[in-house]
Amino acid sequence: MDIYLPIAELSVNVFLLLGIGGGIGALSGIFGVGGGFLMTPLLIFIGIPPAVAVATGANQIVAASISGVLAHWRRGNVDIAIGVVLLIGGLIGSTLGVWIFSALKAIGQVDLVVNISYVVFLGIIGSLMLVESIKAMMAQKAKKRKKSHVHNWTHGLPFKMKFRKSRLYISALLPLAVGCFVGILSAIMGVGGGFVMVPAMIYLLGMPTVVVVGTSLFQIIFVTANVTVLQAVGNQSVDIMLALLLIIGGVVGAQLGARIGERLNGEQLRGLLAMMVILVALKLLLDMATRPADLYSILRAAV
Amino acid sequence: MSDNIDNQQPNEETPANQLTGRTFLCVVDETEEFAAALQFACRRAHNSNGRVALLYVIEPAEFSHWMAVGERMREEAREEAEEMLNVVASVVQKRMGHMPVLYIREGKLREEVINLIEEEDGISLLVLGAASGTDGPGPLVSYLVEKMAGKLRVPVTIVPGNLSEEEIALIT
Repeated sequence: MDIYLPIAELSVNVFLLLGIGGGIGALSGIFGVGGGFLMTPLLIFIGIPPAVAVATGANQIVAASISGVLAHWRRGNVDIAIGVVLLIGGLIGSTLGVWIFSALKAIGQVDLVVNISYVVFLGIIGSLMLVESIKAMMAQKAKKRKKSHVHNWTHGLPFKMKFRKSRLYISALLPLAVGCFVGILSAIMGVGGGFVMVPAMIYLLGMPTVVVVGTSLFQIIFVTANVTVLQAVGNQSVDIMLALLLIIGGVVGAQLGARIGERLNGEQLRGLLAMMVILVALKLLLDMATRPADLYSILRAAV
Repeated sequence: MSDNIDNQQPNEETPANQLTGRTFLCVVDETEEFAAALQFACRRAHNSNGRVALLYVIEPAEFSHWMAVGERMREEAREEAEEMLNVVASVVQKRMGHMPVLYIREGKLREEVINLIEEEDGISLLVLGAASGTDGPGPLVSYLVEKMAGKLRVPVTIVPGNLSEEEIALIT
């Protein structure tokens, strides 16, 4: 049973879309929030233009992040102070990112850039995860943890603020920069950015791990919401039919995924995820390099 | 000729190697009712020449995509647990004159409590604090009372969180 997606301008099987939404939902249920970075490539695989995939994918992340934040908030694990600074950086970054996106769209290169960014991004992340898994399997004991508060050049930056919950006294420019970078990623690739933000918060900012996940989710809500709105208004690239089907599938999938995730082993999951990421990156690369089914695509010129 | 501990005279400062009798297990967390439960357990242990055992359960951290992050979460949680236990242990030391037995376990709270009781035969009683608010007595208490009370190896004493020190002193 096919359904016509107005913005994507193609017909897709309904069940395929529900299945993708469900699958990604299951992934995010199992792995915690974070299936978004695989959703966009999957949508690209089934033929949805990358621009639409990115914008609609961003939308999917908002709801999941909200429910995630509530759970952390109840346990007191969200640092609002630093979250707001991250979020301001994120709004700046994502607005900039959407602007870049529109510029690329105007010169007709947005599909290419999104594809390349994904190949690079997933390739790097997938390899890092794989290396980690391999090291773990060879049972290399982790080295002793160095003190996380090493005083380096970042401590000389101005605009220092006290972040009580994270027990930090650092320049506000740091979280601003992290948020900005993640915002740009979010706008161009339709990801939440938690993947990059969590390590950045721990290793670059030095936040205690217990508040990191909740605070990153907090930031992601606003940034992805901003991306969705800007993309919809500025680029007309959010497809509501697509979004609806993905959300329905996603909600169901997330419940199932959460239940499955409780029974599985963390190390195996990570290894699996690493493989999936690399495979997706390779497939994207392959699709870019081989002859496409349609040699020419029709782009609507500015009206 | 049963060893009836209640007939013995309680000592002020009992050296650890002369302690016979019961071990009172308390589950450590940051709630108010834990303070009441601890007070209860300390007094009972003191009056029966027993000792107090403290259990802190580290709940499994969320899955994170990076192994390094996950490991770091575990380490930080472990440090928190040790710090908390040390603080509580020093309180017990001050009240009772000897160190309590300390247990740190990783896993789901309810499972680890039950496992510990099964493993350690010396534990004679589980002392839990019950929250006095509108949210109910607390998930551990609810679970144990509804599902497990009949199957545990030891009795469970539930101490209302709003009992004052004087009230607890009166009943122990």
